[in-house]
Amino acid sequence: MYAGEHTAGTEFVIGPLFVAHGVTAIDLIGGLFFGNVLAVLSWAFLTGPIAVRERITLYFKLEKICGKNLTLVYNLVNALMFCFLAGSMISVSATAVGIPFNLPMAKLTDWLPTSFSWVITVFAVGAVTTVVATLGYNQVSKVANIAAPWMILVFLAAAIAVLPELGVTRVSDFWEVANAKIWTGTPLEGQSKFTFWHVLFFAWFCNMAMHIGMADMSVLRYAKSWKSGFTSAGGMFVGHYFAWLASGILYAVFLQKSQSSLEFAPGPIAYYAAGFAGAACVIIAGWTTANPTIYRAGLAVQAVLPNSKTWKVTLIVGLVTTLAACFPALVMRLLDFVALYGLLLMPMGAIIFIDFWVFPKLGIQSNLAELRQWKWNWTAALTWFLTLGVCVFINQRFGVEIFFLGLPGWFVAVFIYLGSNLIFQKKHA
Amino acid sequence: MKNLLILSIKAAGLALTLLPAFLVFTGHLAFDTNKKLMLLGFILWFGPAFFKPRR
Repeated sequence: MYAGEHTAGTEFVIGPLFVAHGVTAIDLIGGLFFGNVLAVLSWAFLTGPIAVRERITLYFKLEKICGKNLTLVYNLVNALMFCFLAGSMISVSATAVGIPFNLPMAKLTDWLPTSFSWVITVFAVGAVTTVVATLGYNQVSKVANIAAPWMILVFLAAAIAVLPELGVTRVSDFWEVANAKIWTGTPLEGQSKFTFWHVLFFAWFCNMAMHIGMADMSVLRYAKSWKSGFTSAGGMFVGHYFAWLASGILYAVFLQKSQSSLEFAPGPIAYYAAGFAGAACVIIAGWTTANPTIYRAGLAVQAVLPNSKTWKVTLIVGLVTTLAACFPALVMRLLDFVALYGLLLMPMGAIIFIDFWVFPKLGIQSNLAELRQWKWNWTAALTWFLTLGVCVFINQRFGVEIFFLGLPGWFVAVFIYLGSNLIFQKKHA
Repeated sequence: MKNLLILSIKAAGLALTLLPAFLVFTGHLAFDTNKKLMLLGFILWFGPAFFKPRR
């Protein structure tokens, strides 16, 4: 499941963006290795143990701690993030769908829609994706499972086949070419420079909402043991390691052929390397992940509007997603968006962690909203909003980039939630 | 028997997706031929998905 879910359309964007940000080969390989190991450990030691002890979804756990209304706010934020994430996947698919029509592609520096034909293509892809999502989850899930092993091999095969174009004809040539032509250490025009630490923290935190943020409690609650968290390594080291390296290699070939053009379109890049299979891979990878993401966003919105019909909500969510997908900024700034997505939802994971492990040891009450019949737990709300406020302050005042804010943010959330509860619960015991 | 046939076709699909790339790398296969073989691999992998396996 993890390998399929983490080999998505966005992998065709993230690998190239590392190249565009001028990361060096050793920084990328080392940063991805340690970042992915930390991500797997987060799933195994943070999410897994709570998931198998509680055996409830994240949303139910949040209702117990935070109250129904605060959970609804969380659901809305989550749904919005899901819409943008699915939007980026639709954008990626649209670059492949547009190949036969010679669709003008956006550049790395573009934020707004670049042509009418781009908007039409995105709407066509968005419409199909949304209609399928309204029909339910089962068929999409089946297609995704069938496609997963094939997609992984397409990534690998495409990268191996283009290596001779970069001058790699023997395995021993690879490292020299990797440094000279692929991950050169020089960012493209208008792009910031990435280091080992950028790569490590991005690899660790790109799924922060899922592990540290505890969203995968919903998945791991079915696991026999907390050790099932280690199975996330399948997704990390296939999707977030080899697929990112492979798509980076494909992008380097494109840059060489186009003389460092700023055009950025995963579809034509994959089509050049692997022909029809490559373009199909981009479409399927984007579609199979955009579809369940829209469906999940629909469910999150439905939690806010419980009397509305699922298909109607999914249709509206699909429209929002498609509108978002029209903006190339979503793809060009995907690294920042993914980091923001994790950061926004992370404080709730810290709250659950402290509530579950530390409160009983300190003799203070866990699951406060459930116990006191609260719809809104102010200590949790304060923790969430203040943590994000502190992260914005650190970003603005000290210029710390968004990729690095998750770590101090987690400790800030722990400190605020613990402190506020110690004060509040002792006062109102 | 039918299941074994479907499994073999799917395995051939995966093999045609990956293995020719190594031949391109070693200079034994043309780049464009690899793309055609990958298309065949795509068809062989997804084609049997339309047939339900016997339980």
